Amino acid sequence: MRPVDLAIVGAGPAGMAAALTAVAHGLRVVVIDEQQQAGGQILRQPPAAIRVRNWLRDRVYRRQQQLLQRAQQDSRIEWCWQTTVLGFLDRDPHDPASQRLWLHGPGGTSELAARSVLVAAGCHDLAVPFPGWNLPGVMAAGGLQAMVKSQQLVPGERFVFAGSHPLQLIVADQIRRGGGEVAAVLFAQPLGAMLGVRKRPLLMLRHLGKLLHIGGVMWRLWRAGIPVRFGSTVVAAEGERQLAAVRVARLRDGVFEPEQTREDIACDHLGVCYSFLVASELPRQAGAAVSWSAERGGWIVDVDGWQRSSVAGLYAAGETTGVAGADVAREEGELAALAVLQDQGVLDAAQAEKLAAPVRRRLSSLGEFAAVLAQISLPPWGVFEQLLTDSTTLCKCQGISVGEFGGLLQEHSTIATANSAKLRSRTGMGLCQGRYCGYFVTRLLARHNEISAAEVGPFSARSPVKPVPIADILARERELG
Amino acid sequence: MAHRIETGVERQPSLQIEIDGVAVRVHPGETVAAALLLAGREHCYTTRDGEPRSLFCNMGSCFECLVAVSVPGEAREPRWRRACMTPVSEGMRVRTGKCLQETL
Repeated sequence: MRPVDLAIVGAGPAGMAAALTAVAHGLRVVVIDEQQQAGGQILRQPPAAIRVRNWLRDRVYRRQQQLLQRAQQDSRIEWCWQTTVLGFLDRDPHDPASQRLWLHGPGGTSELAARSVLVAAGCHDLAVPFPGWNLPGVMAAGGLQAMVKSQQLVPGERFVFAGSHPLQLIVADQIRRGGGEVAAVLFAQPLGAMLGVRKRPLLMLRHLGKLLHIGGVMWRLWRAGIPVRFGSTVVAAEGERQLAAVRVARLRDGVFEPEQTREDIACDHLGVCYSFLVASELPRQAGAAVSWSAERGGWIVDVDGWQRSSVAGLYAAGETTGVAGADVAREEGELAALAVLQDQGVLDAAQAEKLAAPVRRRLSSLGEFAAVLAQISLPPWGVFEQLLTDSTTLCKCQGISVGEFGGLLQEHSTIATANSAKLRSRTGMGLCQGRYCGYFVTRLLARHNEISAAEVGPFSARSPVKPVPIADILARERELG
Repeated sequence: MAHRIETGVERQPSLQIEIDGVAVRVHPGETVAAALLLAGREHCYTTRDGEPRSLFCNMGSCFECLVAVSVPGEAREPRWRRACMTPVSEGMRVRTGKCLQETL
């Protein structure tokens, strides 16, 4: 089978922008995504069978919507929907220049050879553990939002949001507009920390559209009588096999106020919205170098000024290289495509540089804004540390508590890396493969041993990076004889 | 309980699936996760320790919404599927609450 020129993992802003640029220069491009349509999470579209009038018409989405329309209308792009990339397979000795991807889709498992691969796999919610977070009804705010945006469904009756990222205001407003009741939106950080942005007036002026969008959302929540509180958060989820209420504590100088001042708020769903973690498991499995960033999503893929990873022929763009939002992702996607075109000899260095210049100009302003947003959107570690009580479940897949994990660290002083912690405790061995607990395992371990996150390292990512029914693999083996 | 947003939304005629032996009407394009929420059954699979797991990320990365799904015509035993990533289809059978270690 002749390899495709470029395989792109992820049909979000980075993947769409890269695909458009690459096909415009004649490359054969396949975009693979687990969803059924393009857009990624930011533009998680309703399925074709559900028609929605005026879907995501707010001004702030306009440029992304234009990108989506262009990508969907471009018949040169090949799409591969409902398909998970399970990993990179060993290269074919007869064609060592090509990479081989292992896929799992509705038809079972298959392989795809590509001369270049761009991973633009996005990010997922940073799920901060706290007592009771394993109860049904406690969800990632992004998960609640996708129900409204894509399925056009309000997934409960009474909602509370808690965290530190402004996204929760937007989700709360979407739930409210859909007919759900929002009891409260809680920010762990004090309002002053959020208003730190005012010290950068020029930068804020350039990104006025986004600020006005948030301002509009705040105004609508206020008019609807929905309390938005700063300096308080949910410290426990309560209920019998289903969320019934959350316990809320105020923070003073980063410390939870005592038990008797806490209050319960009845709700059937809680949206947890602290920040985001990048999906870097595929590049890591391929051997790409990563760096730690507590604010930008954990283990982020190292790239050069052209989005090249440390592995030849493997590129990364968008959140995978550090959470920075959809606008940055789009520009990085374009840059990555220009690098591929250059590396495959379609463009010479001067041509690529000329095309990249305006992209880089846009990126510098967007990147600055993203950095400020990341800074104000994550509370200090001390807040998380108070939530991670001994009885709190650290790894939901394997059912391991913070206390059990801490006990193992006390008992085995040789546990220094995330991998050794995994072998001892089983954290990261379950269904999510450490996508959720990994961030906290790294930080707890670094703190316990007083070493840096870089010394702890990530869990080794192995293929398949996502669980796959063994019957689906066997069916393919039989097919190949 | 969850509800569908009706204003400005057009859905195709409903189809029938079965959740734990109970017939449920859903619309094409809806996911099994949406069907579970509408049916008030949030518990998806059960951990070894007997704890319920349910929809969390709704984007295919946490694997907490695994349910046993069989689809007529595919003529094979039920498979574990992510409820959030699986669109409903006529006659689909969904079983919730099973333990991963159980035989389906």
